[in-house]
Amino acid sequence: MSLTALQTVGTRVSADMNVYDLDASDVVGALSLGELSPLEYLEGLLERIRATGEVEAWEFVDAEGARKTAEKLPLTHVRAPSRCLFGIPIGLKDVIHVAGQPTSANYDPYRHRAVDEDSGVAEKLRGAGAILLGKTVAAQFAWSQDAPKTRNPWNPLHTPGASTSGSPAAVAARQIPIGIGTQTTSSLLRPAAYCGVVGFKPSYGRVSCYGILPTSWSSDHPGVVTRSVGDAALALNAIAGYDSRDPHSAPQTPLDFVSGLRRERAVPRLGRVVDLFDRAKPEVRDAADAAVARLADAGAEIDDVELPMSMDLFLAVHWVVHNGESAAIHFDQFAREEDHYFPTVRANVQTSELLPAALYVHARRWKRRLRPMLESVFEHYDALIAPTSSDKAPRVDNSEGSHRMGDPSFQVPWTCFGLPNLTLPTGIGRDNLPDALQVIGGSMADARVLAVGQWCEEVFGRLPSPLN
Amino acid sequence: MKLSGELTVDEIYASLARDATDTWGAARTAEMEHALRGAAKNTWTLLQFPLSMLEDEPDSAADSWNSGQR
Repeated sequence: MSLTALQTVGTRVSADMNVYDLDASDVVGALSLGELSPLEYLEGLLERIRATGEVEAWEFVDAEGARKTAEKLPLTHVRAPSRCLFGIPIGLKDVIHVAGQPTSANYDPYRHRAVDEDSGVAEKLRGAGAILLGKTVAAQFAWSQDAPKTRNPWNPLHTPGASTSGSPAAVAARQIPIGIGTQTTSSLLRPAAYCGVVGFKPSYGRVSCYGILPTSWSSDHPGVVTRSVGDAALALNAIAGYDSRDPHSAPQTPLDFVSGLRRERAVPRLGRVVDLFDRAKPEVRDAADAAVARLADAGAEIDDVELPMSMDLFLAVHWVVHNGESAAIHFDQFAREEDHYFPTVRANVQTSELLPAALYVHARRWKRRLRPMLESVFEHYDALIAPTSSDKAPRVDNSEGSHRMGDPSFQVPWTCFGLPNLTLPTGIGRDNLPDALQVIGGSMADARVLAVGQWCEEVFGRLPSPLN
Repeated sequence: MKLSGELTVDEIYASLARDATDTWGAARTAEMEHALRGAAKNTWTLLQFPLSMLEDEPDSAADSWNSGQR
């Protein structure tokens, strides 16, 4: 579908663009003016999903339900923050409840049971006018290292990573402009980096976890996958907010993160996290160094910074807390239905049940000790930067022990402490796989991270579509 | 499992593997090797960083979002 009428809307739209190439921000503008109808746009994306089906990004597509919703939307509307995702079809990771759709978590006993209540995220998306198109592929219980069916749109011999496998693959393949995922260790930003899209993990508690199957309560973060930083801010406008049903939800003043992109805009002062550059594989480090040089050439002030304690301590604290909580989540169901657990999840549950409670409490004491030390690193910087992952998207047949879906470690210091961070693509490297850099902010500094991310995005430019 | 900063990674692994065999059987323990090695490494690391009685209490959710409202 090519729409000449869209020429007048936004700055990135031209006559030869297909609707599936558009950012959500541009589509919302076109829909508000009646230059495109919600149903036309939806049909364009459904056709794209069929045409690029080899990506296997979806567990469930509710095409008929989406059509019914699109048909009910008015053909024009007033563009307003409260309806910021008007007419935008969205895919949600298959651990997030959407009323009327199953939440399988890649676990067979759940696969055909539709849930009857929206998660907090789904409820907010609906309220913002979005169309909840379906469920994207997730690793089992967001904890499996087994290869998903989803393929990396940039190279089908490689995975998109996990556990949020389908959302970034679908966004990269231009099947949807916005996907929703979760991150407990590295499950959102790492796959987003592997797929060459923008991934944003808001601060802990910024977005409600109500109605999302838990992996580790103290580290679970819902987040967004988009093709632009602007769309990430738009999506955050829709899903952020306090939710009394989530005991970890943060009290917060409603913010407009889209206008925050302008308000917070400035040439940034950045801290280059030496520990992570040193640990990256050579190809990743070289690409990240080149990206940092481009930021410096564009005017950014960049200093080297170090983590306040050893990376191994951060990894150990996070691993023990995550696994202790995951064992508590799974032990009863595992005892009754272990045959349905995938081998790597089974090994994780069984190992975690062996951990003594004292070790878990010791790790949480270290979380309190480490937090102010880590926060102090941000005092002199707008944000920190580092490679998003130590590696590139692994091959589908990778058998590298516990890292079969890639190395999660470069997300741990930020996820463990609930800090907001964003990944954005910096180019394409060997094997046609994307390179990426992450931008990390202090606690609740989501607007700052998005603004710095957009400044970096303008330096790096945007990637083309991986599929024609 | 004994908790001591004087244990080696291999000793912790051996202890975990014994517990695993007692709990899950030998065949399952073999499948768990990667997970058990990760557990041993992370347990050993944490035990290198003891805290005295009066040092930090465990964190809470509020620590996350009260640490830097900006």
